[in-house]
Amino acid sequence: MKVYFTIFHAYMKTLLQYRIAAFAGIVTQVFWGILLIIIYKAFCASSPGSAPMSIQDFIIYTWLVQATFRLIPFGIDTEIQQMMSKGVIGFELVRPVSLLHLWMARYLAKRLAPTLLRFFPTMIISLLFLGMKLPVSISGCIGWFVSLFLALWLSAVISLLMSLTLFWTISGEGISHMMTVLIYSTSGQILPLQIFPDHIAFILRLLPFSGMVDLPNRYYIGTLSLSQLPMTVLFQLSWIFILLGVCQVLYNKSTKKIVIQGG
Amino acid sequence: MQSIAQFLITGIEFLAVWALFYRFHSIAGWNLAEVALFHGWIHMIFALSDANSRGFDLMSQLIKTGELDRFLLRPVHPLLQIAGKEFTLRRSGRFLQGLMIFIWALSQLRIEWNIMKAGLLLLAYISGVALFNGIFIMQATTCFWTVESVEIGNVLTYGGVEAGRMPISIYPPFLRQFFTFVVPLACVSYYPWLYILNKPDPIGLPGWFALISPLCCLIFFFFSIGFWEFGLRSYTSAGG
Repeated sequence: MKVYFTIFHAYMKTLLQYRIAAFAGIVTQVFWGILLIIIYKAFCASSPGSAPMSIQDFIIYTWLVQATFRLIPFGIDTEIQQMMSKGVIGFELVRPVSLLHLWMARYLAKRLAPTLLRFFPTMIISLLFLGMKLPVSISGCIGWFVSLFLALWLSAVISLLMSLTLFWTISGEGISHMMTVLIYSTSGQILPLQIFPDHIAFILRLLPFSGMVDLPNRYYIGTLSLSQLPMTVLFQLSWIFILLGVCQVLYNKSTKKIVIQGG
Repeated sequence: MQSIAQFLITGIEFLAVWALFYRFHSIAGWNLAEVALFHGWIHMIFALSDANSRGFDLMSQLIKTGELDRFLLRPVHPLLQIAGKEFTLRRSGRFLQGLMIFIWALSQLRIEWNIMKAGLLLLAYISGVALFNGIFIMQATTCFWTVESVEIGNVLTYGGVEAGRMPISIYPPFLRQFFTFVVPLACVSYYPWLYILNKPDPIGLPGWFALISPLCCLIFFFFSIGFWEFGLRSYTSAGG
């Protein structure tokens, strides 16, 4: 276990170097957020009674999405893709550590580090200038924090799953892009799930992806109360273990059949 | 596969628009079909511009490897060479998605077409591609000074696409004026369509403005080429 923690630590240190990229990312996210909020306000202005979510809640939700933007898996892991196409993946497989655990440590860092770099500046800017508010209550804050912690793990497992599919397709981009589309549209990343028609939102909330974005955000704005925490923790943990199981199955199948082309 | 992925990725934003219209039914006097028109239109414009601008994306690489010097030595204008470096077909995913939504929107609206409107549309499309190409050129020009590409330019390109999907009348005055006179996004989408749909402009610009608005983009384009020439003058190659 100490090995994986060291690996995690090393990845974190490396990724936290990318400060300039983070700055560009923050500017982009802030612009996006401002645009989204203007659009929602305009919609509300045209039919005030129909808002499924108050403007205040929408503003907070939007800034949370922008601040935690990098927490969600996106696209393909180009490093792993390179390893696959060059055959270097063989080295990864013969290491004295389990590949799954290794990559879990990798993805925990890959999701956490860029998020940390962007989270605090984005939150501070939006709190000071752009209408963001602090969590609705202490219990909301606790709920948010717990579900965010689990969201990180959920996100890392999904990233792991996406990378494991690369064992099958050399270019790999297709499946990962499809999954990115699925994740973005169903997690609450492009629009709070509350705004979708109710029956659609209900189905989307059963999928694991909503656990990464919609769930923590709802604690923060107070739609969910702390009494529902055991249920939602169970929801997130179940999906984490189910998806880990799928990863294990994929891994077993792929390492039996893997063909390395030299390199 | 990549085209399909592009199709879907750029298309899911429309899902959000659909959901919002499901709840609210209209925005600032525009309905779903009209906003779908903007959405499809801007994606079709951007797709074409994006497809021939991959070279500008790679500008920092061109400078670092010295390939730019080879372009400069040839008898063809370097901008043409960079634009011709690669025509990324996978952008067709975005184009197709835009086209489909555009066609759907047209089918929902009853527009009275005439020669003027058709001509304006064509001019608007060409101007739109010129506009985005201009932004890409300017983004690439900054590499003369910074070598690494300035990511913040993406706020104007992708951000521009996002902003252009909605009628600009909903934006605060500063943003509206910026997108009309500085980076004339509104002139390729909002104003031409105002004219074609026979809608009055709530901001109060005169009706004939719609007809000449695409020319603002051409002015922008020539400005961006001028900026490039200016940047080129201060370029000293590192060899390579």
